[in-house]
Amino acid sequence: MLPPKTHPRWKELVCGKVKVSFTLLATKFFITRVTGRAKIDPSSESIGQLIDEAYAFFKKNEKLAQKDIEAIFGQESK
Amino acid sequence: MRAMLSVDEVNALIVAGERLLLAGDEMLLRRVHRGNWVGGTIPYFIGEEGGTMTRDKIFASTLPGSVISFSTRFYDEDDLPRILEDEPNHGFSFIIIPAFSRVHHVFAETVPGYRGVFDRPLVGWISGVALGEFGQVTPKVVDGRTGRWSGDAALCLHAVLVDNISAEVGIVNPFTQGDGDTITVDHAGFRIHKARVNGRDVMLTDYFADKGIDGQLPLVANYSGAMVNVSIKSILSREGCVDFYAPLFPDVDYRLARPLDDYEAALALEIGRTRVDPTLSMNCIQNFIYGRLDGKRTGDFIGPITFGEIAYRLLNQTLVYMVLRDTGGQEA
Repeated sequence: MLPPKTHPRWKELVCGKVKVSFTLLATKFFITRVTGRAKIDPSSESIGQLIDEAYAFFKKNEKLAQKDIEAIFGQESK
Repeated sequence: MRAMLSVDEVNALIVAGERLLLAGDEMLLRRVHRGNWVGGTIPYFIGEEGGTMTRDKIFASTLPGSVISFSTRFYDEDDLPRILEDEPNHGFSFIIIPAFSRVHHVFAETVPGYRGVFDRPLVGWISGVALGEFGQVTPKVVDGRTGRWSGDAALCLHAVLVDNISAEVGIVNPFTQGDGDTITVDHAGFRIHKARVNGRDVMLTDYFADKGIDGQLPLVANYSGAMVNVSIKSILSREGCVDFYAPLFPDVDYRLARPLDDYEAALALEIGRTRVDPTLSMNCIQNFIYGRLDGKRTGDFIGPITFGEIAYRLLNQTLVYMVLRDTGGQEA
């Protein structure tokens, strides 16, 4: 179960503060993309858009990326 | 089924109603009947008997029964953003792009920046020619449904999967980042004149000359744990630039790859560690050459040897694969 976008971990994720090993290649590429964008534009509007993107990515890949979701959110994603 | 087949064997499969992804020499592909297939030109393969160069056989991969339906479409460089619009909600997209074409460059430079590009599986390869035919023969792609050939447009097959099966794209890369200097660039491009080394402005040709970098090792970027190679095509001292087989991007830290004691063994080790049953795989011509794969087997990773591999983005010196996994229900 994917935590809601209001969960603080989403912001930490897109801002590059979540240091975990990802499994899925798509996750690795995606996280690099959003954390890079957050560095370039750390405004709250930009971070909000990146959280939307991250939520959409993991929602579309919820099953394949289950290990990555658990690595990010721990028990809260189960 | 993935196998090296004669034209007659391929045609028999088409008559039998199989849906095929083909790779082979242009003259062979031109003898394949119209039907449900897409193809790209290349005469190098990792077949059941190992790596080989042949103009006598075609590498054929059948689309499995879990593919409910598919559509095909050509994309020129202006159409590339539409690839994402055409991707199935649940499935995968398989793309072949002619090497050295404008669309090859534009794909490599722009597609990784598209919003949503990593949301759905995009896998494929860059078609090529025999190494001795550079400049004489144009790499091509062909849609077997229409018989349309192209040397300047990408061809994409968008496959819809049954609900309980999902496609995962992965890579096998023998290289990791070395612990040397960090190289960055200000602009994306295949051709680089100036760069920054540890923040200091340099002419890249001068830096490579000073360090004795000759192009055997790629530059490597770390994408959250995924090692992405950018191979050096040529160091043009007179022109003061370095050409790469994929673009370098700003805001990415590149380092020269850690040298491999034994390229062949390192590649074999990484392949052995990747325990999957691939539906598709493609390996790089540079792995074929530097890894001395002629006559060598690479386990279940058989397929075309390509002029570039696509796992969402253009890769170099990398084996790309796609595996279908039972995920037990529709992805959201």
